Amino acid sequence: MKAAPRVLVIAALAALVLGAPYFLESRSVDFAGAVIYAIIGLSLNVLIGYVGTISLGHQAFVGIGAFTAAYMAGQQGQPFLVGVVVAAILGAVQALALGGLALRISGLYFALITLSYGVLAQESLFNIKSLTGGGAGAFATIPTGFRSYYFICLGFLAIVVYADWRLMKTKGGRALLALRENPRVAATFGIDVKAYMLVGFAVSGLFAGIGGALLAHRDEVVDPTLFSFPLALLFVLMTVVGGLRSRTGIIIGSALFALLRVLVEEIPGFERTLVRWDLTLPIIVLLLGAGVLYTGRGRRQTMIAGGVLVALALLVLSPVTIPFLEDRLAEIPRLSPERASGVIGPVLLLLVLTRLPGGIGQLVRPVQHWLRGNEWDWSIGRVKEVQITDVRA
Amino acid sequence: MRARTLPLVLALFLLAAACGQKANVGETVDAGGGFGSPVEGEAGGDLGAGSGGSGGASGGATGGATGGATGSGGTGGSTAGGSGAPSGGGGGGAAAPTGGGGGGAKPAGDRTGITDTEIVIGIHAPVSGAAPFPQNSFSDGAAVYWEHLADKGGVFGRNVKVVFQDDEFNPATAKRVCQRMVEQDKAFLLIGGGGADQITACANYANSVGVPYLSAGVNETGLANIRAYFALSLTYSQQSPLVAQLAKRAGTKVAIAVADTGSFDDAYASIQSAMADVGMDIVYKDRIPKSASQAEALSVANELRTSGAEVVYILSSPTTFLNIASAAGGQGYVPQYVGPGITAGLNLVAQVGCPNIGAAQFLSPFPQLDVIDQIDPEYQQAYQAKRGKAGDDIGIALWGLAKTLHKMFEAAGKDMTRQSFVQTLESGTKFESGVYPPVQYSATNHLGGQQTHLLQADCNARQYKTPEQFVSGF
Amino acid sequence: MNDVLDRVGRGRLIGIGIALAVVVLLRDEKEALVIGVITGLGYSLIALGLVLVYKSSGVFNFAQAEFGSVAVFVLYLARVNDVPYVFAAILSIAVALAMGWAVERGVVRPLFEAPRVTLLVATAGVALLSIGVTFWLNDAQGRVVDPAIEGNAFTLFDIIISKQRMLIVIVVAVISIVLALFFNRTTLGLAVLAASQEPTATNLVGISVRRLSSLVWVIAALLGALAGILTGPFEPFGPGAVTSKFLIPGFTAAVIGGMGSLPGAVLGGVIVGVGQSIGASGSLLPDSVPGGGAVVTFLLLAVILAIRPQGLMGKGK
Repeated sequence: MKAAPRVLVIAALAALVLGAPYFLESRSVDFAGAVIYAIIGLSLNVLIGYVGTISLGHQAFVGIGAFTAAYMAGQQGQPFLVGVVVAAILGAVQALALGGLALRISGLYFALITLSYGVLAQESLFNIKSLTGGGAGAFATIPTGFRSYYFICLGFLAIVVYADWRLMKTKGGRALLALRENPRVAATFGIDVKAYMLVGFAVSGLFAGIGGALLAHRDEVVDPTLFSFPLALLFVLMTVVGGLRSRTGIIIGSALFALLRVLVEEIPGFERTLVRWDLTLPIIVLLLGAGVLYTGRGRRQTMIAGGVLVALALLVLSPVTIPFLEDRLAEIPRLSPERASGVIGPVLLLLVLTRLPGGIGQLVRPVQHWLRGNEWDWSIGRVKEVQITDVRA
Repeated sequence: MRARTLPLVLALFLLAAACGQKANVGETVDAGGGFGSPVEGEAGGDLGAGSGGSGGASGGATGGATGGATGSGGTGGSTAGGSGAPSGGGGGGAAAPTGGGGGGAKPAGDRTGITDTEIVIGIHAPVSGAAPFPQNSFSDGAAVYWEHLADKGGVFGRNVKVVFQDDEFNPATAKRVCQRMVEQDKAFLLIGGGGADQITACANYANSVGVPYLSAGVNETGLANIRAYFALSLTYSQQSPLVAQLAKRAGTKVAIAVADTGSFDDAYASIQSAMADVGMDIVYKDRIPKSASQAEALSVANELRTSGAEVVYILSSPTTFLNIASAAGGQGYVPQYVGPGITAGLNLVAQVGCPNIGAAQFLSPFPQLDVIDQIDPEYQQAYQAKRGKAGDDIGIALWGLAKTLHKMFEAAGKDMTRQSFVQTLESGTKFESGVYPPVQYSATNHLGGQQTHLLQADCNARQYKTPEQFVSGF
Repeated sequence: MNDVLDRVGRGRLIGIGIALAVVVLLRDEKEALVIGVITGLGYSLIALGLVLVYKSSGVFNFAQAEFGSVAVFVLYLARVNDVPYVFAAILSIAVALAMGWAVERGVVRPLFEAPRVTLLVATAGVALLSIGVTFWLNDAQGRVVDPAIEGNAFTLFDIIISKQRMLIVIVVAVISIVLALFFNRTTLGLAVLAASQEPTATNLVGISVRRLSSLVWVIAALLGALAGILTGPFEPFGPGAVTSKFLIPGFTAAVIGGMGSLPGAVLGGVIVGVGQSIGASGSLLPDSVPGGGAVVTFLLLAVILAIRPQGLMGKGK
């Protein structure tokens, strides 16, 4: 029960988060992106994790925030903060409108509505030239340098985390959770299901609006093709992989997805000396994925162990295996960093869905538990299944 | 409750402090200063010299304010501008007014990207996204000319290193990769390979950090008044009279279909008046979706067909053109397609689009494979020598571009800086490479293209031919 | 009782279809109607596969159209290597079937007990992975593949209908009839339905629910593959082409039809196609607002779900 190691770990984590743009200044822009994705992940978590409706159109939520911020900054000449606030409000309003539909339409069907809504936003709303610049995009400038911008984003993330935490501590938040777990009992106790759902939608839209505004000012150019359907899937992916209802997990998961490309690009030691990282990372993940996923009854443990062993062997033997693989796989093109999340992301998702329902949140829970001064306990935070259950489905 | 809200209030304060200054409005002038517009640059004197700490953006007070604020911050603020310190020799420690952030030092010029042995240039083009080019054509073709040149001694003893980035046919990505090429790869200048919206976004960024930016001529909206941008060939609007003359050879009824993006607004307006000027009857004009669904492509195709147009002016991404041509072809309608452009005349389009594109005619800054051996026999020889295979048409585009750029480097001299490079271009020198048509700029006109090549699809061979070269009228 | 509801729903659906057709004809948009019908039948093909999977396991299969993307890619690769069309088509279908089987084994089966929304996310993951891998192994280039039959069949309202389009009509009709017979007349089909409604009881009477699930996914993959190779030749395609062009309209079609109804899926596809082509013709929205097709799709979906959340031909609660 000594405090020293805990303090060390906390200090190291703080140093990592606060110092990231100092270690790798040229990547500040990506780090800011990771923080923004974390905000978006938390926004989606409110819908999927708390309210219990899946949103496959979250790119529209974010995009509305982004274009609003760009409109405020570009056409209205408003300061950065005003743009963010207006984007957040508009995000909440459009989410409320969609939430109104959600009251009538449940579960799988609502997923389709959100999906169609996302396409509508991308192809129609975001292409209204007078508001968004159409295909040429709208411009919003970054208010500071990238490194300071990273800290601005961190500030907003802090607000969002705080708001999320407060929300879950209020009567309404507890009601939402109760509602999701047992709607009948909740209804019996007189919980106004619809009102709380709408609150959830508004909060989610608010967060997404903030995320979108920050994204617009980071990119400085926003255009409709940014907010296409695959982005919505990526958002769902990172939230589920992060672990629904686990704030820490979602922040880590979202940041991981945002930084996958950077990881593939920036692990230079591997690239030059040991491993063709871009070649081996996906192979390892694929093998692991295949190993773990392909489970006949009773062979599960064997397969998991096998997958891990193969991956380990690949790593250890990489000076030998890589030239061998390179020869054999000369035909297979290298996975470009831009495509990394498209291949690795879904594998991670399928792994989480089938094998690790709590996602990254499940992995970090024991650490959090320990950091709070408790004994180490692996079993903390275990989840039986990924609960994306619509209470009314 | 009060105690609980305290952290929130604190966070808000921190945030307000962190981003107290007004967001920059209007032009995308972020870190340090930029070039501003040619006209304003004239008024402000010589390349912003003397505008000091607020950077060279003589154009905007807002730009200056932001530049100053970030500059004085001194940390991350001016990553882009901070790269003003030369990576190699020359220039001393003085930050350049165009590239440098704060400081206010009087400059010797910005030599970022130039060392004693190397000049780094950055190219972006889409190899993924809605309108992709083949990746290999770019990775193979981008450096052929420069490698070939290196054998002959390079540019004043320097070799040119080409950095290539995929912009995913997406303006935001384009801006991001351009920023990377400037900040990380320390590119001396940037080149846009194709895609009007991407070129516009990136050129504006390049201008804001004082990096010269060149591309084949595209739109004028959003590009005509920025100082760092130079068009290497005729813009779409400049091509409009030529395309109208071309259309007149094929019929009198013309349809005009232009992709619905703000970048094409000038071309959409200019082609209508150009067509009217030559006495064409405009039977259909509309903006078409940037990317069309099957039903939409069929609808557009059907409207074109029922309009009875003999000639169709099309300005869109190659993908949209192909979808519409294929839908129209399915309806037995193969009009004479004409248009400006860089990408619609690629053999790729003929391979996929034939027979539906018929004998489509597009203007192009570079000739096709059928005549390159007469125009410049070195191309295929060099390509064969460097890559062990025959070069393709994207290779020609890159080769011709590099050749023009080489002339510019030579004219700018051994001690070239970003400023002197721009000045050299503005001096009125005519740059003739023999592949791209000649270009000539002035301080007030950066759209210096004069001639063009005409490409025509040959669907028997599934490729484009070059029936006319270096033309300025039909 | 269900039958009656079914018929009422079908009546409404046909009514809506006729109303739509009348409106379109009155507005003198005959071409839009024809274009809508021929593109809509492509959506119907996807919708049929979606309905099949939904009927038998309650899953919204987001990987349905991706079977088609993979199939058309394989067809293309085989054709550029000069494999005769028939063999190329068989090969591409075989690859899609293998993919369907693998998805069932790797993803659906481990999640047998999971909530259906989880499976939705999982199949979306499969689609993304498939697109990611296609991108990885190929570039993003547009490609063209030749149709099964060249040539034009006839002209309707001034729109040329190619033989390939007629082939789609025939395939859609045949699939609908075969599937309807399968579910209503064969023991196996009844077993599939039983397994989806009462899995435990089905197991108890000696039918392997898991084996049935494999069968359903393989058939679904077949439908997806057919959709891919039949609609592929109309436009240049890249990785994930069928998913990006057909998945959302396909779902809309299936939902309009009530998710559980095969004829509903076919009619739904046509309604979505016509709606889109009218939306695209630009007379619905002001000029400054583009994307009419997407607007119509969304409105169709939202209105139908809001009025009758279980779909037009879905069974009452």
